[in-house]
Amino acid sequence: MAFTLVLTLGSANAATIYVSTTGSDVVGCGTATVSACASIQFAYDSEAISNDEIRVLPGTYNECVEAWGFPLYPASPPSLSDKPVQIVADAFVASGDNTATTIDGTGICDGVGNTALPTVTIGGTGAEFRGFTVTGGGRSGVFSQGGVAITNNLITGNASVTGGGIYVFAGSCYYAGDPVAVIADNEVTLNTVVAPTTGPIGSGDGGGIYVSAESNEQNLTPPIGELPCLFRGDPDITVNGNTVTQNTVANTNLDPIDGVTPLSSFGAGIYALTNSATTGTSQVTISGNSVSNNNVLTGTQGFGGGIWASTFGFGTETIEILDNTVDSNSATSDGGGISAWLTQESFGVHSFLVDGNTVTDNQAGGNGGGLDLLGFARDVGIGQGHTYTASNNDVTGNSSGDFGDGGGIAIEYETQRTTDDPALSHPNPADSLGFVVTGNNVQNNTAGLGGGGMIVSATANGDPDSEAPSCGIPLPASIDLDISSNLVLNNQADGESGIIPPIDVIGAGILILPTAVHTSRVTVNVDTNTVAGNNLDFGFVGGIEIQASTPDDACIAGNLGDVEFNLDSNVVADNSGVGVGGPPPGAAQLTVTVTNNSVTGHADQDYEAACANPPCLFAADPPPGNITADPLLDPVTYFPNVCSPVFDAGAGFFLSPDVNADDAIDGLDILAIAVSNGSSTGQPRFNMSTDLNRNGETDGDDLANMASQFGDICP
Amino acid sequence: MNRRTILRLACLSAMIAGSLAISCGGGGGSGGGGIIVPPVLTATFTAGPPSPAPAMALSLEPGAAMDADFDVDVMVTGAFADFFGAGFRVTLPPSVNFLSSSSAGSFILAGGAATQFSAVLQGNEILVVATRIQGSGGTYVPGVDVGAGNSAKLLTLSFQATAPTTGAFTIGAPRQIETCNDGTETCSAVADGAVSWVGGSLMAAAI
Repeated sequence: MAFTLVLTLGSANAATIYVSTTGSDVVGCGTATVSACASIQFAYDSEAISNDEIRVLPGTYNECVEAWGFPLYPASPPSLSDKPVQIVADAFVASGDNTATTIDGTGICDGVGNTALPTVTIGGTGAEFRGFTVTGGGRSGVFSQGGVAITNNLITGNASVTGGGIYVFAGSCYYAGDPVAVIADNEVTLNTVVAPTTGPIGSGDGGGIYVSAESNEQNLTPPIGELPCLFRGDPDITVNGNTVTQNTVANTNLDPIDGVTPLSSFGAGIYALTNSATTGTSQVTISGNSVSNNNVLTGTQGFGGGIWASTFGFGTETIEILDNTVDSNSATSDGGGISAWLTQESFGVHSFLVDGNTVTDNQAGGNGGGLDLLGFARDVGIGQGHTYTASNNDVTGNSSGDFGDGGGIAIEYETQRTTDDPALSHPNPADSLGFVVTGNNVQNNTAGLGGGGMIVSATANGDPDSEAPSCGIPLPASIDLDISSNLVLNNQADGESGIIPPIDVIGAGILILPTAVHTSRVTVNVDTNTVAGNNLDFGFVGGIEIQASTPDDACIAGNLGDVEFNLDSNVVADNSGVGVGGPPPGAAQLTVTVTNNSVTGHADQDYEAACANPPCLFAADPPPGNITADPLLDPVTYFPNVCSPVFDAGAGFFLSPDVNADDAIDGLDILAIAVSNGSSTGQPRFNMSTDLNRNGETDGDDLANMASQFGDICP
Repeated sequence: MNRRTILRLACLSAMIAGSLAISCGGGGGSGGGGIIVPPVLTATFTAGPPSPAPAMALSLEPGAAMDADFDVDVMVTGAFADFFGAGFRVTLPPSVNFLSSSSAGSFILAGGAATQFSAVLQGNEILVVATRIQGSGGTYVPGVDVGAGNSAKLLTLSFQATAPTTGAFTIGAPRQIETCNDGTETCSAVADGAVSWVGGSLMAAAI
């Protein structure tokens, strides 16, 4: 059916409409400051057209503004008079002061004796809200749909059932084009979210900021009872440079089906979701924010005290969480600092990047005091795949719950085949899905149970239906985990001695739990990490522990999966208990390859070669090709001294800045970096030995690393 | 030995240690006429041999000097095509403190290229590097030509003599000069034997 679009286009010369507390709401008001309108709402309803600017003079405006910017449904026939406007505080333009102009919904839309509404509702492509203090909202402080910019505001003292301070839905159905929303440089503080307990109960998410990027399929003839989706666009939301503090979420609801399972809330500070149709694309970037002291309240099952973000749909989705400072937040479940979930099914292509964040002093009631990273792929096919990278994060001083794992980082990664029906899943299952954890600094975290620094749990299940008698056709489901170049230092795993039987601590540094079900494969590559000084209260393995499992299948007995554990070029030193170990493989099909490691300084064994039920994880301590020498770690940087025996010229790469291996960091090493600088793998000038941080290029980071050690000479 | 001689020897020792403000006095009896100027330690750095430095040389040349403080300019003598950087070690004679290095006026700053200058003391050696840096994002940075017969300053090293002494400054291994050709956009090390590494000598005396 052809559809005629009727759009109200903005004037090439957008007008400015003034609003003042001393103004009058009369027709024609606002053309000058002396004839200003009295309310923002009147200025929008009566005087503004698309793309006009409503300039608000200083003062307090007791009103709840609705500037939707697009038609509301139901309306028959739908009107497409899109009237996005820019609502700007004059004082902010003049002097950068966002406290001089306040929009206060108290007593009007705060839900106390009135209908709970946002203090400000703004929408439409190109709309903008800038420079205000917003308070007293009963359904968010600022509520937004579409490609809107919300910038430089102070948003405080608002309440909602979702999105206490700011709520942004960048869905695509009701306006043409791709919605691009920007939430930047706001201070969002002391807002509350409480999930409703009556009527349609919701989850209560996003205490400070809630953003959802949804890309829907166009549907002009929906089923009866559903609204049409007029447009199809690909939303892109940026949350950048905000200060998000002291916001809360609370949810006491139970699952209405079983009446027992608590419903969860997500993101006391920031909530973000991508959700796209099969042909859609959606993206969220959360960067450069300061997120602190946000809390999931007691009595709520909540994830992501600071930030919670998840992919969710069937299209192409990307979430990036970059360079944020996340400290002193709390969640009652997983993810005290950041919960980052990639959930992908069938035909989706998802990617997730958590990079460069500083995550400190956060508290989880469950797993992942600092970071809770989840990757889940179901019925995903070849060529789709996904990428999940957690890199270069500083994760320090965080705590998991008393019975939680992963004081610093908790990683859970799972791939499934639930059906071999090509109508319901991709015909060719993905050969391998990958998770990369690299370059992270994980120090001084505490786990109630295992993985004081990091826990990595990976499950590959290729059996579409493992329950007899309806057994499906097993197909490959594989996982590759790369844990490399991380610094895992001085973490603590407590264990539980006060219960019977007591729960032993395992893996105070890194705990790895791979499970491969029924012809599946899990490969765990652990290389070039430094794991030192980690402590367990009681238990066994203080450094790196691996517990592999290849459970049998109820349908086809004896057809086990495979786990490969490759441990290469790590320094594991001075942890309590055992350096590298784990329970005997037993019936599990576990292949262990251990090369070029330096494991030393453990009160028990360095490599666990003696155990109660041999054969043990290792055949010898040390295994051939590995050493137990002192790695000579710098007491501050924990980087091996230039004279360290861990640097082996025979290895395929160098971490040492002693590029020419002459036991000195001198001018010749600097020259090597100088001529390679700016080159990357495959280029003629690239020299792998100058890529000290192994990121595939020689750059200023490598030069700075080497320059900091210039002059070090072995005795 | 009488007490006056003991005192004079003590005063001279203090002067050598740098306490030049002490007037040790002299002559006979207190209250003698005239101002006594204490001896000053003066350091003189001499380049070579050979001097002048031959073609394609990296040499140490005398720079500014005052009393015990003296600079040594590290010079590059042409013809050097595409000079990009140098790394080397300078062995010091006894009784010389290394103070600092300076890149001001270095010819390798030409064209606004990023550079790296470092000089650090290790025992009686200074590890030195002065080099241009290839550009970020793969931008190619060529070396700088030093024409035949020309001499260009690479960097300046500053020292202080701490006692009367004579000794040699030598440029030793490991040492290397890199060139980066702007035509071929490739870099390579100059063969050590193709470069003349010319040191110098110091004489520091109380005058």
